[in-house]
Formats: sequence, structure tokens, C-alpha cells
Amino acid sequence: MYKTTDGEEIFVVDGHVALWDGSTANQKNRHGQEFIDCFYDYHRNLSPQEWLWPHDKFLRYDQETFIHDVFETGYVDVAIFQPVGLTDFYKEPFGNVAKNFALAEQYPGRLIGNGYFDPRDGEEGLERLEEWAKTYHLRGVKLYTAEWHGDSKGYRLSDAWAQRYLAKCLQVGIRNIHVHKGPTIKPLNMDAFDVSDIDDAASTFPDLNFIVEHVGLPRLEQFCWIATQEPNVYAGLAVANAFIHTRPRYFAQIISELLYWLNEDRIVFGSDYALWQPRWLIDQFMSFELPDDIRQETGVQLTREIKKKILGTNAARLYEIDVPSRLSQLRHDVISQKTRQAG
Amino acid sequence: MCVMYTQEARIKEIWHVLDHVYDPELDRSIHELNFVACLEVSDTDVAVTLRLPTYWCSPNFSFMMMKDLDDALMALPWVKSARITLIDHESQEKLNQGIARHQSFSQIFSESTGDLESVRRVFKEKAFYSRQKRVLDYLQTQGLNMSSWTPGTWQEVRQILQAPAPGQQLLERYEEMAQYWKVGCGDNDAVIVDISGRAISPELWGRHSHILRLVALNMESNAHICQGLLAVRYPRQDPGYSLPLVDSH
Repeated sequence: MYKTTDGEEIFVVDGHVALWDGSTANQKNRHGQEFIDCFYDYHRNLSPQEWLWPHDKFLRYDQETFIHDVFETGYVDVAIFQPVGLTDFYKEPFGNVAKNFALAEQYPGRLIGNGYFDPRDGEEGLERLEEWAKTYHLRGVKLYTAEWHGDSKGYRLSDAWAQRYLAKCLQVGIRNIHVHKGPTIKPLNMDAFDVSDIDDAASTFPDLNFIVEHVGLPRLEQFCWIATQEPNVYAGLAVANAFIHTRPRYFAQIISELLYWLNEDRIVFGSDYALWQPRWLIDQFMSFELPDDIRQETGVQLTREIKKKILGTNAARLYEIDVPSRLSQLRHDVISQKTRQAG
Repeated sequence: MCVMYTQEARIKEIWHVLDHVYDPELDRSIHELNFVACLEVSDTDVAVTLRLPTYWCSPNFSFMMMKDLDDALMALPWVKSARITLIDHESQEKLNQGIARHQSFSQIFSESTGDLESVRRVFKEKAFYSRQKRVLDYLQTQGLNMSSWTPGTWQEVRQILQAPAPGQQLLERYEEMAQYWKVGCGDNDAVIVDISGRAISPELWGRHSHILRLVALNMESNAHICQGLLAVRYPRQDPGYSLPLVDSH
């Protein structure tokens, strides 16, 4: 819950959090080390200095740290786990669906644990997806299209097997497909980060929502053009959020383009914790104002009402969270009690 | 004719080459982006070591930079051998070996299909529009009111940008990309056109400028991320360099 200076309470959903294990003990090979180190470089590059973590803490942090940073000090009411398995790089999954679920059970109403799938796992993966959907009550999945899988270094949502998995999602009650594009090799005649496969998938599956993480960066323009045509395509703000500190003008430009090409109902906040912390992101976002020249050029506004949608109610709609009843549920939970005691 | 090269002249020529080999995604030179980790010139042999912002940077763009660099170096009359080495990258062995053997991308990565040139064209198109946008932005700083300006001819813009050096440079860069797309840059040709050379009509001007804005913003945001990542990955001691680093103890 974020409280404005004039006393208004704002419901916050963090659409992108993780409790990862990038520890040396869990790394399978050099790629595992390089993967978490690359995250750490993002963290060092875009965080305010006072929020920087030492490297070893960043590799693996405990549940208490997570609960503290996200809920107790981070203003977040509900957070959504977006795990990636990366089992070619790590012994135990980097993002662990079972562990996330266990933590969510401990804090009722606070955490939504998404799953993931990899279409290259074929029939076996389809069965696992179905089983996970039942066991963990999945409402969403996180996909990383550049994930390595044996000799393959990526897939596209337009692949035949990916389509079968998406059809399965629909069948088992998964509605939200969070897509993170990364550098794939195949096919070569496409740009590596190309997001046009999301266009195909979104028009083939109009009842699924496609939340494109990192607003399609490094292909923001392609993403915006797709999103103007497909009403079930959303912008996940993770990474773009973090510009608010190092390059506020880029942030202003990005958010105003999203408001211009999409609209205020299809933009979803995500801290990408532990890459960045929700506390400073939300503080800066709430006090952020679009510069006059950008407002004039694009004709868009970033009012408090719009900020409230981006920070909470848009994601609440995607995950069918009834905000007033969820708030009254959370008001008396252990986290709220602890926060009140801390004053 | 016999040209004598001093070592100094040779190194200068190599830097000139490095200023003209571009990262296709960011449309900036590998020199400007600080991707050159090491340069060795020994007689007629040149060795360049390249580094990138992440271990995961896309292999196809990495290949393009290495291939373009190799071609440009070998095009210098005095260069007998060029060795390009990419470091700290997940595909460095394949790429280094492949470039040394003058292999194509699909020979290096057997799972790849299709045509690398089509990827290149996608990015040359983005470069064309973002360079066009920079010219327009500069014109605006020179007092031109974009909302009432009808995009004119190259001659008109050349006249406005005659004196100030940055403007002229921006125009040259745009012209270079116009030539790639075989778009006319004669004095009487329209200056604001699409990649097929069609002038943007007044009714499409608004939409065109929105698209330019978005293309340029995407490229600049990426460049910002990439440069920041490179700077934390390879900290320098340059004056004014003050990115935060964390003590891990």
C-alpha cells in the first residue's frame, strides 16, 4: 500500500518479482555464472547508489529479505513471481515454481506464483504444464524465448509446439502469458529480438493476455506497433521503470509513447526484484511528472489516476483480484501487523 | 606509385576504420561505443580485440561487426593479415574461428537459416529514420518550427545547415544512409522521404514524425543500456568516470 502525502491509499501490484538462486553452488557451468553476473550488471548500471547490493547477496537472498523488501518496505500489496527455469545453466531451477508456491502459501493473498514452459520439451512438457497448473493453481506463465535447450538457443511463439502449449494454457485456466524476449539465433533471417511472433500468438489466442516484459526493449517501436493492433497485448514496465533514476527523460519518453500507442489500461508495473527494489521505483514513479514539451508533443498525461492503474488496478484486472476485498484481507495479515508495529 | 606508411599513419588508418564499423542495432561506431579492447599493429599485421556490453549479446550482430571490421581492414592496401578476437562472449570460440576462416554465419551456426542481409536491412532502415530524426531535431534547434514547416529539398536544408558543424555532420550521416537506400540526395530532391524515396505527404507528416520519434527513442534507450552495461563490466579510470561499484566483501 502506497500512501500519498494527502492521505490517499494506492493499491500496488508488483507484476514482476523473483526469488532466484544464482549461487555458485547452484551454477552448472560458466553460463550460469555469466547469467547472474549480467543481471548484476543491470542492477549496478541502473540502481541508485544507496540501493546497491554486494555481489554475493545478489546471487542468492533469503525469503525474509524478499518479504521485507517487497512487502514490508516496498509498498507492494500483491506480487507476482515470474520464474525462469534456466536448467541448462543451473542445477536446481533458477526460478523455482515449487518454492515460490510454498512461500505464497505462507502469506495468503500476497503472492501469485506463475509457472513457465518450454515448447521444446514436447509431450512431456505439456503434461508437466497441466500438472503444475493443477498443483500450483497457475493463472500465468513466464516465457523466456531465448532460453538455451541443448543445442537450441531459442524458440518463437509462432512455432507449432509453442502454439500447442498456448492452447493447453487456455484449456487449464492459464490466462496471462508474460513474454521476455532475448537474443535467439534461430531463425537467422529474423532479427534476434523480433517480437512479431507475439503478434501471431495474440491474434491466434484472443482469450489469452500477452504481457510483453521490458516493453519489448530493445524493440520498443515494433512492440508498440503490434500492441496498437492487438487489444490483448500489454506492456510490462520492468527495466523501463529503472530508467526513472538514471535517465528520467528516457523514462518520460517511454511511458508517454506507451500511453500514446497503447493506452493507460494496458501498462503494468514490475520492479523485476531483485534487479531493482520496488521502494525507490514507486517513490520516484509517484512523484514523477512528464516534462511539458513531451506532454505537448505526445498529447498524453500521467495523472495520479493513470499511475494508480499502472501500479495496481491493471494487473488486478488481469489476475481477477477484487481490490477492496483483497485490501481488507491483507489489512490484518502478518505482514501488515509487522509493518504497523514498525510504525 | 609507392606509398610509405609509418606506424603512426597505420594506426591512424585503423582508428578511421573503427570509426566506420557500426553496431547495427545502435547505429554507432564500435570505436565510439568503446567496444575496442585492444589494438595491435605490427608491420602489416593487425589484431583487434573486441568486447561487448554482455556475455549474451546477440551472435548475429556480433558476427556482423566482426565481419565488417575484417572486410574493412583487409581492404586497406598495406594490411596483409587481420585477426579479430571477441572476448567474454558465449559464442566467442565459434565466432573467432569462423571469422578467421572467412566463414558465413550459417556455416558457423549450423542451426541458423535464412539470410543475414535481410536482418541488416531491417537495421539500416531504422538507422535511416533515426538519422533523419536527428537532422529534424537539429533543424528545430536552429529555429525551424516543425509544426508549420513543409519538408523541403536537400538544397534548402543544406543552406540552413551550412555553417554549424554539428548540423552538417548530422546531414552527412543521413546522406550516407540515404545513399545506402539509393534515395536521391540531389539539391532538388525531397529531404524527408521514406526508404523507397517517396516524399512524406503533408497529411502523413504527423504520423511519420510519431514513428521517427519512436524509432529514435528505442535506439537511444538501447544505446544507454548498452553503454551503461559496458561501463560497469569494464570499469575505466577516465576522468569524469564515476559509475558506482560495490565492494563485495
